[in-house]
Amino acid sequence: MKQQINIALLKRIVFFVLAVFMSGLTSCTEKKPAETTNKLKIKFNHRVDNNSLIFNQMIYTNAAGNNYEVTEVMYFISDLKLHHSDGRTIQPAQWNDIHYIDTNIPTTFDWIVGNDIPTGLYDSLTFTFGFTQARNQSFMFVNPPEVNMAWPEVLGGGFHYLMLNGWWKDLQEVRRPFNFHLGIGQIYANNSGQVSDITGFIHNNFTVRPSGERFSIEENKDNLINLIMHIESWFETPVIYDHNTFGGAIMQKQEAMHIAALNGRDAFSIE
Amino acid sequence: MVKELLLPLGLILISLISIAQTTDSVFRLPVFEVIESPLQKNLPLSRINASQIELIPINDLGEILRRESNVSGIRKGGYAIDPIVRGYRYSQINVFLDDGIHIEGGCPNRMDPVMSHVEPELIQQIEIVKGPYLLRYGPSPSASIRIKTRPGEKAFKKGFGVKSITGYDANRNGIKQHLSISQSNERSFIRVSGGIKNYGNYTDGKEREWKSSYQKKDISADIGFKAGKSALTGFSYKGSFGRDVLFPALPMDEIEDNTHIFSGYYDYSNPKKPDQILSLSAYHTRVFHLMDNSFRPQYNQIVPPNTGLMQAVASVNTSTSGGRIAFTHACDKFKYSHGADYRITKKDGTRNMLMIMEMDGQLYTSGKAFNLWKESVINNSGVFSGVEWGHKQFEVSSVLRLDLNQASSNDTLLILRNENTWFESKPVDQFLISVAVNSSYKLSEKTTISIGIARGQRSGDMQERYIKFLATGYDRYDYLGNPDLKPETNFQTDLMLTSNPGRLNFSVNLFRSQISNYITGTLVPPAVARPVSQGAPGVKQFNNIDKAVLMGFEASADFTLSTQSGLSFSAGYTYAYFPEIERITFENNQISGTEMIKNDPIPEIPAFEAMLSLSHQFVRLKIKPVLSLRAVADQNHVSLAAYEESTPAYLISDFFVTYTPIKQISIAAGANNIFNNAYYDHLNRRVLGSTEKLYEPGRTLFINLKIEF
Repeated sequence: MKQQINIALLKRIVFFVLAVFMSGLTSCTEKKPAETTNKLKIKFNHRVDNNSLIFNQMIYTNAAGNNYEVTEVMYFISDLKLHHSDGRTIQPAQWNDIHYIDTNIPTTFDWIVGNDIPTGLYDSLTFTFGFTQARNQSFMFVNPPEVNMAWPEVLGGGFHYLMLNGWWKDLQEVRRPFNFHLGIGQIYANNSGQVSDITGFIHNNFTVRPSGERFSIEENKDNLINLIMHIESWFETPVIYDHNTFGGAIMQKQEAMHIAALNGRDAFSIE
Repeated sequence: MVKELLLPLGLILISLISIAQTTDSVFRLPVFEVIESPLQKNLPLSRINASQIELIPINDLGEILRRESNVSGIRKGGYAIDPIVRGYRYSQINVFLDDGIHIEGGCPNRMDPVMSHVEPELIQQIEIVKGPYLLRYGPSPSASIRIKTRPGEKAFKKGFGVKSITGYDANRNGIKQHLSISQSNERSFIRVSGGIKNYGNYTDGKEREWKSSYQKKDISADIGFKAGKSALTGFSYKGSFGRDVLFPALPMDEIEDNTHIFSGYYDYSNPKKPDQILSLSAYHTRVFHLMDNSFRPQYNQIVPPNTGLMQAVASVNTSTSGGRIAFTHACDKFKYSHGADYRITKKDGTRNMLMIMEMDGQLYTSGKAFNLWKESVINNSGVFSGVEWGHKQFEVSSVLRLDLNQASSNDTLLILRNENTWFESKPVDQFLISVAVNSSYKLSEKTTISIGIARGQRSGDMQERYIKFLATGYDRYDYLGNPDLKPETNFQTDLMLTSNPGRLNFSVNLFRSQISNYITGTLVPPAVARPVSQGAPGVKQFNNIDKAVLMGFEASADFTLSTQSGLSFSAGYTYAYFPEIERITFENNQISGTEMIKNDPIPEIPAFEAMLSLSHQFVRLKIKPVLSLRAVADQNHVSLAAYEESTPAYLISDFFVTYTPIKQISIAAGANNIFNNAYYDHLNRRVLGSTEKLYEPGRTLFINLKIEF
């Protein structure tokens, strides 16, 4: 009799516990739909003389008269700011405030800047081409493709702001490569150009305010801005840049990089 | 096709056998043994004895644990499998030696989990307690693994003794040799032992070779003295030295690992009142860990899409010191146990990186040093008190444990962003309360039902609090510590039924665990921190998640077919989920937003598995063949938030024969993974730089020889 009671009790306990456990097992994953937001996406374009950039064809001539072609363009922009017509300055890229653009990687042409941008009319936007001194830290990126933009520590460290690579025809009509690279410049004792003679560094980053119309951010919409880099502008306005003067590699030529920094300020427009 | 059929057939066979055993109502269970210690009665406990592991081809203790039901492990290479018990992991499991000797591993990638610092040949027994019930040896938040290495009473009775274990593994072309020499009398003993292991790469079932070789050496010495019949004093040293241990699933390999474990103990029992026992123990452990990527291609050659060389080396020093005092006594029907313990853990480490690039025809080298830990210290002081009481068929035991956990670090890193502080190291004191109550009721002479209820609490460990930018998890993200972590609290219930009505023992254990302030990684915006490790897609920081739930069961049966034959079965499953967790959404490889997910599975939870083992002793021939099957179901209950991938099922068969020509000599030979299946476990990590999982070894022929006299 006692054993029967025990078995009955046992059955009840086991049933109860199994029921509790199994009720938990039936739960399933649920997704709460993402909230609608005021998204801003920037799409990067690259043009020469207002036509889409064509790679690897010696079809362009710059203001100095150099015939040239472009093989690839890689660069960073950071510290994006939107200037609202009501006077506010919005920093939309709270999640990722540095964007890398690489013409070899089309997915980098789209930058999802933010999801919660205040609506309204905006006068303009500004950004830093490259990085400010404080942001430009060596080993900040360790994975390709960004890591391949590393700027040698001995030349100032951090990362390239720009790699604009291509070919030009020199005065003897010889096709020569150019690496139009922008990053931290160096000051050399006696202008020797020797690494051992470096006495200081110059940060060549600059702020860009692209030309273009005012734009608006609308509620619950994927807002899109086209940001265009005008390649030819790197070689003109305000200073005409001649490849024959500076040669193919300018990483250790601050004078050339200084011209690049001056010319780059008006190399962008928005549509 | 045959392989595809084997798994379902195996699962069906195992299930049928288990049903048949249940209906026969003849059970005998080896997995959940009731142990004699008053406060450990009725725990969900598994034990592994030295005799079970001496003659089988295992590389480290993690491999042994994976043979237990609902215990799995994370494989990152050929050595050092990191145990997962019921889905609990890392510091949720209190892993310790003997009376609470703790070791702080050096590697932030957990190349050297605690158990990898102890050689299997030194083990007397391993106890696995699946829940926050074993509170007398430090905070035990979710599970405990106790590795017993201390020589037992028989060490005093042998005179001169030698024990040699030799093994050869054909898959890895690996050889091991361990030798132990002892001298003893009734009042004292001394034992000195040492061993070497040299294992090559293993091949999987597709005949692919994995870079998983390793070399290990160890040396140890134990001495013990008896003062009269009631006092025992002992001292021990264990040294373990690893070299060139390769981990294809991690960004670096272990180049050097030196572990030193010093310990001493004193036990006294009152000759007039044997229930009164005093135990004192103290220990000091040190680990030096050096790892780099010199075995990887990118160390000395350009691997596209990289355009330069990347060289990384990290070195870490850790130390743990502690002591413990415990006193047990009885009064009427009550048995009491009281004690206190203290532990101080220190960790310091750096990583150096070199980037070598060729630009404009010149070679440039850039270097940077990072702190992994900066003189980090965690002090843990605990007291515990327990009582047991029994009346007729009913028994109850309870333990209360209080801990003061104090952490500090000399980190100078400060991460501020938009007025939010993401990382700032300040001293933190936390008070932890853990309590466990276990009770049992004998339904009959042969059947017992038990229930355990416990609250276990733990503070963040060294990694969770202070690690700086290393890929320590399964998801390749760099992890950042969080000095402000709240303690994680586990509320757990276990219901156990054990019965041994004749030739069949069986046990069933249901459990449910609810963990509040669950510690796990959450994504940090790139604007706040960017990864430092190659291959890391971003940075995650350890944070408290509101709640996690784990539930499941273990079942086990052992059937004595005859005096010479035995059949054993075990199975286990854990179902685990976060009631609510944030998921990052991506577009064009960029983060496009977040969404909340409900009831999302916790990542890295082992799949349902069942094991069956059949053995027969041929007495006259002195041989014993053992056949075992391990069937693991596919794991489709995977985390959406962590973008975890499902894993297919597999069935593995092992067979070996032991031959004991004379009492002093045993030989074991056989094959693991007889059918050379190509498979990987759900917990195996992905190979670095790919989405492919690290495969398990294919067919492994082995022979082991044990000589003991």
